[in-house]
Amino acid sequence: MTIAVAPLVLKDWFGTNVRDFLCLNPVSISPQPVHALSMFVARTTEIRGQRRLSDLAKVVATKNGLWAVSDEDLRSHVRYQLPPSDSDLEQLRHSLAGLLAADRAVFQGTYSFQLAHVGLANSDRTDHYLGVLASRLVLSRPDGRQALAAVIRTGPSPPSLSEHSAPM
Amino acid sequence: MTMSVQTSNGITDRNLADLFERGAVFADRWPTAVRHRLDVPDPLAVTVRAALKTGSHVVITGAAGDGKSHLAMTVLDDLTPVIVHEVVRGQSLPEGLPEGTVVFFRDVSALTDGDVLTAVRQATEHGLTLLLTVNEGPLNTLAPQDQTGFLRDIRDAIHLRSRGVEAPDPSSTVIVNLSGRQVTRGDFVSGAIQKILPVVRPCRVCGKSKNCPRVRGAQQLRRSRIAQERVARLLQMLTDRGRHLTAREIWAFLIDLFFGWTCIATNDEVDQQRGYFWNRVFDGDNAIAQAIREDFDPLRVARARDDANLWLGHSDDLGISIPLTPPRVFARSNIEEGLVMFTSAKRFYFFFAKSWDIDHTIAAFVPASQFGVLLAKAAAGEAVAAELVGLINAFRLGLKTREDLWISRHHSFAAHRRPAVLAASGKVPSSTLVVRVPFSYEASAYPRSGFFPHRLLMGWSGSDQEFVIDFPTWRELQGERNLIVDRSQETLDFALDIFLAQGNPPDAADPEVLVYDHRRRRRATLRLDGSERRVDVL
Repeated sequence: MTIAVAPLVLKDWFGTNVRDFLCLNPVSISPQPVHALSMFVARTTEIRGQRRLSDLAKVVATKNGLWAVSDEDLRSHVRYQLPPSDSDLEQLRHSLAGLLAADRAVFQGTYSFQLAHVGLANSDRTDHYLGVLASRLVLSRPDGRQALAAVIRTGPSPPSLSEHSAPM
Repeated sequence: MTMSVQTSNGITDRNLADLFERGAVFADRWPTAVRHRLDVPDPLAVTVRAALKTGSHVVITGAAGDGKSHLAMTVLDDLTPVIVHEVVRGQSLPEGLPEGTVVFFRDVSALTDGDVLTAVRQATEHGLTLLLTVNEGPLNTLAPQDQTGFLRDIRDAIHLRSRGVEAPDPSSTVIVNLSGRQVTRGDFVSGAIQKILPVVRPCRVCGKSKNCPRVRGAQQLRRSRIAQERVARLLQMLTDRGRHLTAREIWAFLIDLFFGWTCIATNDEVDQQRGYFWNRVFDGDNAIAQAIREDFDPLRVARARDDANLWLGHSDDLGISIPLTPPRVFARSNIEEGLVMFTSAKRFYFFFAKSWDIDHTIAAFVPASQFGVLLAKAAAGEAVAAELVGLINAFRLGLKTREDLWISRHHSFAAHRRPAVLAASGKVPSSTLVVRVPFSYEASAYPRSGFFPHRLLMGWSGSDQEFVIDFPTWRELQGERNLIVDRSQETLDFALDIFLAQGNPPDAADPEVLVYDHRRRRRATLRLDGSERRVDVL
């Protein structure tokens, strides 16, 4: 025996009740947590001074299992003093990549480094706005900044926390 | 005909054999006469008895089967002429109990909280002496409710001691926490064996036959102190890994070695082998035998010359007489039967051969025994921090150094991929780390009673944070680092991340960063120079 059942249509219900609050794409393997954290920290702090994160991304970014930027190009484009020896440079790139790009979220154009230091935070839109949302949630509370300051351990040049809510 | 020995208290060997046949190992339910007959001398009984005689309260805690009630009742059996009043459910203490009366709580779990709290209050108000046996769970529940503060002080002291913190007994009180006792490290096992062996009788199938493996095995064991010591050594081997074996578990295991076997009607020599204690130690149908078998079986130890002589039955070359038909005889017609006989012969040889240095063998074959050595060193007061630091450095950074603990870190978030590269830019001397030894207070206060740590707690000076090093952690620290999903290693790494984050190495302006790549198995040292914007590979 076959019983015909009307399909359950939830589109309208989701439209009015769910999308108004938060939308998550559960089938995506991106964003990685590191994207969201990087954006979150970038939006909640003011980091001053030259960081040259794009140079750092050139050092550690990979493409199809190889370095995205060749050693020769790296030496000509990067404004850090790199080891003169090719083997030392290779060792340096592997070490930094293992430490700063462990979650494979660093590419030549877009990059979210492992937050070994707050200064590595970067606005990387591949977080699908999760970091922005989180920063808005934290900064919307009166005690949010204090809570955040207690979490972030700062180095010799501490970044100041953002005074304003991050725009969506 | 089996002769039944009548003892002064009226308990016969047959009575005890019946008891063992039933597997009645709940010592606190033994009648007084049985308790006297099977009592294994315990140094703690002397301590408890002396405390009660001087009017001190005594609290005995521990897990089920640790022998709390047995210890208390053994002491009370000989505590005449002191008046003992046992607290029973629903009844408060009667008026007019004379000073010095011992108020006995046989099992706090069988009483209501109200019964216990009221009796404790009444007893302390009237100068009576308390003797409590209580599990740690009920004690934790009762302590906050006790207005006298007596149970709270007990609980606090127990908790601190179990973490290796020195906490003396509260005033006029003696606390005995049997949870910290490894009875395998005292004389308990050999004492229990001595109680069991004289009353072993043939199984019901064999009737009166002296050929029953139960009886023949017991006769062999009675004649060999070495074999008895080796049974005890195998049990101690289990506790080396921190496993807590209760007195009841050991009684049950030892009784089962003999009374757990029943011959089958058609058995022959090959079938009978399964009934000998030297096989049942490994093959018995119980958790302890299974654990022993998993850790160690002499069958897995290759001893070429001995093995050949065992196979051929050359007792003269072995130095001892093997009471079995040589395996080669059976192997001529059935190789499986030959192997069964060889297994039995090899295990017999393990227990009875003086020439076999089993401590050396176990140390080589059983990792847990190495952990036991570490615990023993720590318990004896030796510094083990450097040894533990060496394990952590090796696990995290592939380093062999032990003098300093490198504060290694990684910053990976991805749950589906483990960090392959870890780095450290600072270190702290091993000598600044503190290693606490659980139950060290008891081990010092009651030597020769078997108190022994089951794990170590490593921490920073002046900090409550501890990194717990039990046997699984110790093993994991020495394991090959796995770079794919491995929940055990991830848990360990997470614990180390938290622990090391509390380390406070001195800051360096231009730090050298030690980097270890576990995937490529390569180490590099980077020097960062901020002012020159320069990175060097050293």
